[in-house]
Amino acid sequence: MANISADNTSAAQRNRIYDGLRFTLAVALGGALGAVLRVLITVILAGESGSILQPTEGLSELFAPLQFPLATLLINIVGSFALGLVIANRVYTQTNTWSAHQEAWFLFITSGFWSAFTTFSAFSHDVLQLWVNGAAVFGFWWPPQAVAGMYLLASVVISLAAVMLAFALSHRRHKTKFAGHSE
Amino acid sequence: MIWLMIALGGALGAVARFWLTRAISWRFSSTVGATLLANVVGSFMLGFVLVFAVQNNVLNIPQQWRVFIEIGFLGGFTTFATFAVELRSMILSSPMKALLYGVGMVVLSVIALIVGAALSNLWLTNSFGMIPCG
Repeated sequence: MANISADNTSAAQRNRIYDGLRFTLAVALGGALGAVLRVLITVILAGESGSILQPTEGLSELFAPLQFPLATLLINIVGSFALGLVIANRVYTQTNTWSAHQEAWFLFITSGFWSAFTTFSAFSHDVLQLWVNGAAVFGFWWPPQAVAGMYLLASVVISLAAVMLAFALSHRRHKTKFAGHSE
Repeated sequence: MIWLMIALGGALGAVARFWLTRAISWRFSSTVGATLLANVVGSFMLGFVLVFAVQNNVLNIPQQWRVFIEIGFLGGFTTFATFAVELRSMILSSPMKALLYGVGMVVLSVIALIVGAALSNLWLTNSFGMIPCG
């Protein structure tokens, strides 16, 4: 690799490899920050690192009773809203040129930060645990399946609504910013 | 130390998902399958690791490693936000497909979690043991 010739093909190839490395590094940094923030919020809201690491015996680890996973619910909703804002901003901004530098920042925030901030594995784990054991919601013990369904619907529907709200807000902002601009 | 493990796991998980998405969108020109695959595989691995970590008294896996894998890596590998954004763009074009995608994602992930736990249990104890159902 010492004498890479300066002809166009190898230069373009080198550029592609360099961009790939830069994007990967951006995603890694975003992922690290997102994961740390997720655990920080879980620790603050739930008092410990969520339901996953609670010490129990044997297989019952998967089916141990838990408090309602409010932290995961909030994290997924907030993360969905934020990702919606970032993506809507890109969709509604009419740009013809998108530099590799901008792409790296975009990937840092979307694929890295907000995607690692939200989590699906803890979500499915929570659904299963709630389905088997249930949890107290609003101070009452409901049928476990009802609690699991409530958690599931709340997560998916509110996150979806949050994304739609984010797109609507971004759309309105861009319309006022570029007033008179026809689409 | 714990926070470093979480950051490292999150970084690796995010990069793994990023490359999975890139590979699938390059091969099939769609990212929808990548998110589904990442979430289902991540849930499967969580089920596997959860039972493995608790059932395996021989290895006695340290807490840092469990945090690294279960919270850092798998938490960063799976994603809810991308799922929600994809669901939104699907709803606009075909609501039926969006409904199918949403239900499929949740059902497949929970099934994958159970299968992962059952396989891990089978591997360690040579029996399905007593997995409480229902």
